[in-house]
Amino acid sequence: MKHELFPLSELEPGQMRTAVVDGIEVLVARDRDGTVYALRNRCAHSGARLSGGRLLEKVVGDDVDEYELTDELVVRCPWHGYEYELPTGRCIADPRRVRVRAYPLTVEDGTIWLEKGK
Amino acid sequence: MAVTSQATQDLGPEQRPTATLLIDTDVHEMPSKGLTMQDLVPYMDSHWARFLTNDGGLWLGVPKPISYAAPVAKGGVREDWIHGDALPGSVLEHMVEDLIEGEGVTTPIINGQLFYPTVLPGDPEFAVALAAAYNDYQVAEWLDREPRLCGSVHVAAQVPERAAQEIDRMAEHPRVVQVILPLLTDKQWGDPFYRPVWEAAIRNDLVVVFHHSMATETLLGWPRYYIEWHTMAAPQAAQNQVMSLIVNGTFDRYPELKVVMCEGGVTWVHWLMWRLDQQYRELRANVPWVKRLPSEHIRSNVRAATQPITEVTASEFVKLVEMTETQDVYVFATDYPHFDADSADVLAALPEELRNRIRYQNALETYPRLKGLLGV
Repeated sequence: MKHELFPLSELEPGQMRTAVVDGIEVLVARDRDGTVYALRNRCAHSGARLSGGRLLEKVVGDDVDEYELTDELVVRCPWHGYEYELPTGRCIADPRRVRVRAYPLTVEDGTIWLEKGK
Repeated sequence: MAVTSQATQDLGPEQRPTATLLIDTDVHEMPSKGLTMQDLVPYMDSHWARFLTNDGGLWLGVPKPISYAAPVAKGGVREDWIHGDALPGSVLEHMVEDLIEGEGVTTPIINGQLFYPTVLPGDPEFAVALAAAYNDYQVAEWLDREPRLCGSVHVAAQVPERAAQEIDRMAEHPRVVQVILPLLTDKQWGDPFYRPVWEAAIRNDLVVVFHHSMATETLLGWPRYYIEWHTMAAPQAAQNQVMSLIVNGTFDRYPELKVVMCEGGVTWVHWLMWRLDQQYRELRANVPWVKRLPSEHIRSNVRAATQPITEVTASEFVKLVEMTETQDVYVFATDYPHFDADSADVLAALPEELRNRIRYQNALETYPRLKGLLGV
């Protein structure tokens, strides 16, 4: 079922905000390239609201002392720092076992819609 | 991974070539004149030999900061393995009688005893020469005299390029299966400084084994009593060094590298997996070159020699292994000839599959050279 959230213009790239859908709090975040994503607003670790954390550039590196900031944004939990990928909701450090639910979004006529089953 | 071919799997359990294998990953031989290293004189570079014979030079000896009044048998040896006044582990015939015939060990991997050129505080060139001499002594006096023994490469890792050269040289001996290093050094083992050592081990199909030395303190230094040191020093250091190797990306850079940690027992592995995984989930961005959970690196690259496995009961051990999926992690070790050596009898209470993994299968899968050597 599709749920209307809010106008895309109310969320700048690099920002996030919350919405409530069927009583579920959802984090809506906009990547640098303008794409919007939605995750359940509860960290899979200890249940903190991810919206209290930060959208940060993902840090990558292939050898010691190599830190590179990418264009990809990740949401970092305010409590313990778990990092989640916006498209999948997977925890970067432990993608197989730790994830938050990701909801598909569409943008129609400038409005963000969220697809959510029952 | 199966360690037997299809043809051998069709044989009954007692007929399989691995049926009686017992690979011992922690066996200590000792030169007959002990740590004076006088046995090395014939093998030592002529310039440096003078420092061993005190003939125009003077070596002050292996550093020995440890000093405890330990309530253990003479020489720190298991009582039934004491042979008169012979230094512990110094007579090949005693090792054969005690370990191979007595305990049923089919493949002892000898690694020296309290001899770690890497911990010598100065004279790195002397340390390099001492390591090379020991290696030649080991081949001549042990490996060439007893074909069931496998051996180690001793190195002075404070000079990594020379250590790598020594590994290349000694790897020409077919029954050298590992590089032996002390648990503690001035730099933690994950430091990129040591990469030439890992690269040499890998290109020669050798495992790297870590063992505590007389310089291995606990986190709090030298505690008041031997029991404290004997409880904490090895597993604490093992945990620190495994963590160092992981978070410095050693296993991401060298996925073929296999390391074995000796004498820390079996239970430190699980705590480290849990704790370091938790920290990695929270602090991954600190070490973005680490691409997998630490526990996954441990399962694939780190092995724990089991002695002393009796820190838990068999049923407790089985539960731990199931909880952390670490059935591949453990390799058998006696710690011959020391007072707290394990007998393979302690494995009898384990389920057969896990028991065989520990007796030989994990070692066969860890040590690239062993399968060919043992014809399995």
